[in-house]
Amino acid sequence: MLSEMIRCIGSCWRMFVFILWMSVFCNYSAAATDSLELGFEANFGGDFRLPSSEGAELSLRDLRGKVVLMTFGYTSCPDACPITMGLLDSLYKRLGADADKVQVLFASFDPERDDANRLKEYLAFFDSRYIGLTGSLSQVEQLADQYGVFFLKRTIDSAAGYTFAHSNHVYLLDQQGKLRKFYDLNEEFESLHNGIQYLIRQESR
Amino acid sequence: MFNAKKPTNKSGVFSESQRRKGLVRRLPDIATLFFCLLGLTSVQAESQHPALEQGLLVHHGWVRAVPPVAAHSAAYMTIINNTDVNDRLLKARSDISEAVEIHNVMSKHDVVEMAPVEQLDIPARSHVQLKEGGYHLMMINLKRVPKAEEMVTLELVFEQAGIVTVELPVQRSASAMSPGHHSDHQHQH
Repeated sequence: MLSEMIRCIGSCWRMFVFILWMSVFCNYSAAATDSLELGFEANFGGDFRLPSSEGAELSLRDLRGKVVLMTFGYTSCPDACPITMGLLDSLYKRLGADADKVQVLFASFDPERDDANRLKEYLAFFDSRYIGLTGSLSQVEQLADQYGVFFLKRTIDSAAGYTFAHSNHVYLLDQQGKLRKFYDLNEEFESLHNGIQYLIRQESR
Repeated sequence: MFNAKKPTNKSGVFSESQRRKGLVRRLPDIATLFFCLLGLTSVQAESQHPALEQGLLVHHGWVRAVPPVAAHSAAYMTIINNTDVNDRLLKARSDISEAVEIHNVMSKHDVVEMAPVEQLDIPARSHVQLKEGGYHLMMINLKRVPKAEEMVTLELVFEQAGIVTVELPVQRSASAMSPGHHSDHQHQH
């Protein structure tokens, strides 16, 4: 009973912090444009080292020189995550030859079910160039906190057992691994496309 | 209706003026025929239009093609209630998954959350859309992974309409629906 209460307070607190950050972010993003001026994002991001779907551990540093799109989800998610992956597919196609200058990372916050192999097979269905990240629960939690990602495991009255309430953004990192902006892909597909092209143009100057 | 006029000149051929006259005289007949045909085709088209079909109908359905390791998939469709009684989707089942549940995706404060729904109301003379980012039928613990292009059978159980069987195409996304590939095959028992 007590542990239940503590867990509830804990999750409410995480939700509260997330909403607080979101409201701060919305004020910033009103002024921000596709020029990718740093606003609220300056407080987030940073390097990590996690087991990846490529077999070995991957750190952000290994991807220097590439624009990185980071997204969070879980493979048992039947609706929101495949929609995001589908939109990333369209984005890759739109980028054409420039797609090779972009690396998509899919970090799972369900390490209990999503090991490196499972992630590899899951991502290959969309694009074999995508890399999955997993790890221990504390590693995944740390990564989420680092990037301002909210997720909460929920036991629901369903044959699916548990599911996640989660924030649903794509994070755009520049070629030096710095977080530049994050996007709601359902609403801001064009902005993300412009942001990527902006970074590629900057680099080739 | 069309009285064939005999040519009046000796050569047995219609003169230009005769031909013109004949055409003018026949114009109302031609017009009637034209409008009759038009009427026929429009009646045919209307009888295929969902808004005029009676009963409980399922249109534009599809099942998400998922990676081979995926545990779940989802089915989407528009349920049209063309009757005067409120109906309710109570449950659903399929051969390819252990369970099929009605789920809803809610988005609040930038957080997406999915939750099961006991039943889904389909009010009389209205329709309910099951679509990406909203209501869907979650196909849980797949026994067989649905592959793009194949058809999947689902049984929907309604309070009033009873069991409605639908065959839905498997697609990677909603927009992958190809013309002429409709999912309107349904049988009411």
